[in-house]
Amino acid sequence: MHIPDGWIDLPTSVAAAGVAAAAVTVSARRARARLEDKATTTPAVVAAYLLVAELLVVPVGVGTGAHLVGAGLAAVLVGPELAIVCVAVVVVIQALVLADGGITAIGLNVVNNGVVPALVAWTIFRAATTARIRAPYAAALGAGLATLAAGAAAALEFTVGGTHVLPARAVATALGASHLVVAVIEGVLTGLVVRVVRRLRPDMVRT
Amino acid sequence: MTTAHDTARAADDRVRGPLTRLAPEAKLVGLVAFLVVVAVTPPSRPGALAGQAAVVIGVAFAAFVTARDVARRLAIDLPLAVLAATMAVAGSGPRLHLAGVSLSRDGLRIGMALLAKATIGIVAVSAVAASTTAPETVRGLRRLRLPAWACDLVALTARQLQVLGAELARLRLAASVRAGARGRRGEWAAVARALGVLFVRGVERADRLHVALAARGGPPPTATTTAPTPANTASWLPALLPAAAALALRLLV
Repeated sequence: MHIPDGWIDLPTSVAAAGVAAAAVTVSARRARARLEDKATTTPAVVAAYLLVAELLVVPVGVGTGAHLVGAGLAAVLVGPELAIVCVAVVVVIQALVLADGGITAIGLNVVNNGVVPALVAWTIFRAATTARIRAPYAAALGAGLATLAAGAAAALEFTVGGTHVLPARAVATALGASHLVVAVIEGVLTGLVVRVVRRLRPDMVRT
Repeated sequence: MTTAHDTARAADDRVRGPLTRLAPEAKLVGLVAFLVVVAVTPPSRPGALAGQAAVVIGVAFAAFVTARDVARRLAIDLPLAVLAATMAVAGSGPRLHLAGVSLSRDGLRIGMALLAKATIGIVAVSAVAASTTAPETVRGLRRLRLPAWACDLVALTARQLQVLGAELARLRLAASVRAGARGRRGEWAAVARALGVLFVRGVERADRLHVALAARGGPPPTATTTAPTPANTASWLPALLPAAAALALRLLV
């Protein structure tokens, strides 16, 4: 879920926007250096992929479903720099066209859904594969922990700039509990997808 | 296959209203300015928020936004409604009793304000989205000095969105014809397979796309060179009017 307008105060949102802009600029520069002249086609396809992937819903419980969030998967498959740029495009399109997530919260959502999970997922994935854990399991672990980190970032933003009508501890508990469930789903799905991709095109999973 | 025709038709399908004629960059700035003003309007000013809601409803009528357009996006409001209810029930501070339920006064006020702001945002975005095509939006972003590579990226993403969406529809059709997935495990595996195949096909398409672009001698001239005359005051004034009205409401009501 994305942070809507008015949920986090303006100073915190502006600070997050600064962090997001810096992270996206650095990531874009690094991604362009790595991709050279493919610098537009690959990220565009990955960003579109992340938007489309949200349409596929897996059944979770009675009448509810979940979908892939994808920052962890993107980090594992195309690297964290490209994942951050792609998630930023996704968040901007979602805010400006689909009204999903606030306009003043674009920076916050880029940090929570892109910068934090991509870096965490990539770090864990690299560490796990170096420790000779097989790629699908390493990706599952990375994506799961990345989701928890995203939840922690949201909780931190709320503590700094939230409306203090609900006790901060209650909000942190609610965010933690919900992100725990989402983390398991995200981890399992990411692992399964990486297994499929590796079977089809082993060269596409960077280990 | 999805072709460029789909994009062209989508561009023609929209209703021609007063908002269609405004320059896209003016509309984007107007939208963001309006929503920033709404976002910084404190929950202690329900009158100002109600006035801003009236402004956005007026704009939506002027843009001929269909109820279906808004309703589709309003799904995002549902979790926020739950959140607002939680704030009202579990919030701190003085309580008030409404129809036999004990509610937190601050929680109710802030929760309702949050829900109102999100809904205003959804209607405002719907109005701009209904009157602006993807290429126009990209042109607007470029005129707002967004780097050219970022504009190209957004443009190509919008295009690939249609392509991958169509690809996904085909994958789903094929899966339903096979009807192999039984039970929850099967459905998870089917979704994972679809996502994996979609990724591989997408990246292979990106590679082909790159080769095709290179064969034509570099990327096509998109946002950077084809931008027509910049917006004049005729676009800026009406586009910024809702934001000005919202600001006046924020300061006066």
